[in-house]
Amino acid sequence: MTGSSSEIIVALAGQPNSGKSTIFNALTGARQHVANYPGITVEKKMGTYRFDGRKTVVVDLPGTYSLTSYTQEERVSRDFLIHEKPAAVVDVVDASNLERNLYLVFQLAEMGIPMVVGLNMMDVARQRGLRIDIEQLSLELDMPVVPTIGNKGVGIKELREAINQISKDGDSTSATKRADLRQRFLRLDYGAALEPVLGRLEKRLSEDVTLATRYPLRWLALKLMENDSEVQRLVREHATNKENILSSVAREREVFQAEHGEASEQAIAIRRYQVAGEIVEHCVKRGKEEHRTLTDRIDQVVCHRVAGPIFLGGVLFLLYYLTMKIGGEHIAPWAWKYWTMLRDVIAGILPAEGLIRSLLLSGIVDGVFAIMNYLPIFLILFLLIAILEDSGYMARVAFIMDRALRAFGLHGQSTLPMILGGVVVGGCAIPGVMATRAMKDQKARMTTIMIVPLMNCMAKVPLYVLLVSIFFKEHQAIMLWFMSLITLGVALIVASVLSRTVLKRQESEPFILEMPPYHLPTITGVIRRAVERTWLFVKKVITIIVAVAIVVWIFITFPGLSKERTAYYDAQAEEATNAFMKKLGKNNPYAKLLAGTGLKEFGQYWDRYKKKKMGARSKEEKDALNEKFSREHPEFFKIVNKGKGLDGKKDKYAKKVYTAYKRLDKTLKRLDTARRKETVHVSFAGRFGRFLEPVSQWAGFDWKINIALASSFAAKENLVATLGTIYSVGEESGDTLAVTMAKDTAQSWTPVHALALMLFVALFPPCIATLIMVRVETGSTKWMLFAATYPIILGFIIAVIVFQGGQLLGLTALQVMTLFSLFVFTILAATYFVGERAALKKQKTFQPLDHATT
Amino acid sequence: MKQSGVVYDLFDHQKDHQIDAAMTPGMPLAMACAGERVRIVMLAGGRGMHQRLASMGLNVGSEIEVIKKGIPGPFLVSAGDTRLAVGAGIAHKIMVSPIAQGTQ
Repeated sequence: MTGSSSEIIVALAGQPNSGKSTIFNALTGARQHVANYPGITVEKKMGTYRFDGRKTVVVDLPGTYSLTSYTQEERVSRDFLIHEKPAAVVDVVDASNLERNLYLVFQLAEMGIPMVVGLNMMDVARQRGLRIDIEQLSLELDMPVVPTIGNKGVGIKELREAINQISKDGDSTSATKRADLRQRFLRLDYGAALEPVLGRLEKRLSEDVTLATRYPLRWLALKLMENDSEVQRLVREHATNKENILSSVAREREVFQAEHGEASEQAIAIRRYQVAGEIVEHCVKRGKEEHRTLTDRIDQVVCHRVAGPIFLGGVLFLLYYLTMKIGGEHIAPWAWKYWTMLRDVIAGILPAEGLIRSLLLSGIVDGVFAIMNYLPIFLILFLLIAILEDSGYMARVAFIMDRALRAFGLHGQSTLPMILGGVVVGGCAIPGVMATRAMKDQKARMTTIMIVPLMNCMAKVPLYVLLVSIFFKEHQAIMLWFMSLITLGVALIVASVLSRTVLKRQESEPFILEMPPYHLPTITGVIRRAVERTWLFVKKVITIIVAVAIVVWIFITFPGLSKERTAYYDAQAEEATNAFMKKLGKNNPYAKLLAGTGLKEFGQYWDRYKKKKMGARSKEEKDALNEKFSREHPEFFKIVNKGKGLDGKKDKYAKKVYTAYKRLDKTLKRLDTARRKETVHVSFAGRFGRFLEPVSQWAGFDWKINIALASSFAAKENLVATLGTIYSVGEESGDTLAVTMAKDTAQSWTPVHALALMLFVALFPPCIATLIMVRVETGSTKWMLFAATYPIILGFIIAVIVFQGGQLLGLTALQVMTLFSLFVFTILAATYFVGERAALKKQKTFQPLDHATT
Repeated sequence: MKQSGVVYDLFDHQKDHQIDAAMTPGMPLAMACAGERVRIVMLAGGRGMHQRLASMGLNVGSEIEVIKKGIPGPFLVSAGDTRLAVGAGIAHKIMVSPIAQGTQ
């Protein structure tokens, strides 16, 4: 064996729903990793295995129905096969759906790469009474065909063997041998009309040396006759006499059209189906007359006009119940304990004081951990969604929802992104925006990306809960329902407006979606997919947060206090310290110990002890704690233990120090909070907040709220945290934020204030992490900026209307809420009927000659 | 003449059911009833749509069965062993002719 053959690359292709990922997993096991193809959002999955001493790298191509150049996925697959020249390509074929799957087999075979067919889902085919003559199929296709059942691992060994064998044949590096090999594989006969044309073109192309060495000629000829723009580009780039070639192709196409009355690409497509039909006729024996399959029977209920939506409602309810109830209330708090432990460890490693610690800890670590808190919830959500996807139900969800969503310019497939974004309270826009990838319809996809951030992500919830618990104590549940209904209503209106205005020119695609037969999902498949998605999410979030946290931290930390103010706080602190030293008295033996750096050392000891003591529950724990601290520093211990040593002896000097230090500690902490508060006040964020106050007061927001809102731009979690800093929830006072805020706002705030704020936050621009995701998915900075600005304007207008209206008419918040919901749902209903009528009108004007624009 | 939207002939060896496409203008799929079996006689729309439909198993000559009628939602059809949800928009662009029951 030569050196080059010690590692081979194999491409894995297949149509959607052919079980390609189960084959991929079965082939490669756990040795996988996911990357993106450069510059685009299509995922590139790779995995490896060893067979017969050779390392085989399997590249999982995106699932596509064909290999034209219309979609990004198809282009990616094609480019990979042409340019990377894998040693072999495996086409995973759904045995229960052979005819359609052969369409891709033919197109792959034309690319001239040694090929193996993995005839997958043999069990499903057998259940449907299909008997496939595998030998005959292999003979007719002129390539090895290996029957497999991917999710049970059946046939994997044989598949590896076939790959190994065929790629060995392809090892031969000489060009003629490779060309020879190409001839050996299936050569689809395009019939009397096309073959002469193809022959002429092939000959012509073979005269061009660059093309002939780079690409399979028959494939080039076919693609040119199919009028494939990418292949035309290849010719233009590489051919020496490109003008000649392209003009003769154009001539051939014209002549063909004139002679046969149809475009050559259509003739090619039809011919492929004919041959597929013939092959199926030879190789597949159908058992008894086909009865309604189980899938059809399930669909009778699940896709039913009335029962379908009800069933969907039940499924969604279960989805939320399991994620929010089990994940949110049980697993997340349990996991949080470990997250805080990890955070403490990190806090211990970091330098004790200064800007770097502040940046790393409050900027990056806290930001990342705030999201990590939701990780268990996401894991459960992704698990459930993987079950829905693998079972085949997700396609039905799109089917059922398409009717309703289409009236608003959305798509049946917008449902999953919206669920992830949090239709009912509790989601996250980042996976929501990522999930729009599956959508082919560019217009609906863009619209979905724009409205997903309006959903109620989990980070908006704490603010709702905070405000609701202060201002709407009696109506907590109703208020939360109101918020989710209102945001959904507003989002649909926005979608409808956007798709008819700014997104009008985006490309729209007809709705065609395969409804795969129902499967029982496998446990490993579901877990693998959920873990993969969660991991992708974590990676994204961490990289984005690290980048963003630095900016925000600068925003709320700098320019910092002026020299005078710093000096003032320093002087205050020194004064307090001096007073403390004086109080100890001249004869106090501890005075020496606490002089200079000793005081600082003691301060840390004090804080540590207090914190540990709070955590200690039983008497044994306390005793152990005392002993440990006493051993560490017997003198300090006497002070913190109110003058008592471990032996129980009282020391009045130590007791005196204890009392004095307790007061000093309180003063220092108060100074520290005041200093922090002032830093925020004079920071860029603070200035910004005060600068906006004249405008924002129309909606009832003062500068404190403005700052909190500005900081929540980084991550919505910051909202409540920043309010916490501003309202300076004293660590010593023990009051919660709700209590402090309630006190602070008691005179000035009404529930209408709170309602306006909640509505603004609901519609407020997405956090920066989401915006970056929007940038990645739309590939456009312009759309990212649009996604950032329109919600501010919209949210502000709504907040002003609600606030001013409520104040002028002297209504209670509940009345305002009712009026506002009526308003929103009237518009929503109007939009729906307008959208529906427009859709019907479009359908009725049937124009055979019009270009695909539905 | 533009190449899109031409009426396509069926091929000769569609042996079971010889349908002369020129004689059967067909109706939009949208007008077919639930449970009806039909054959595609013509596809309207651009080349991109044709290739897309073809790759999913909807081609001139394909036999399909309407499982559920949409209006205004998507149609549920079966083409061979594939179940497809087809938007009402395209259902108006796929011209079909009914297959008499019992010929199969």
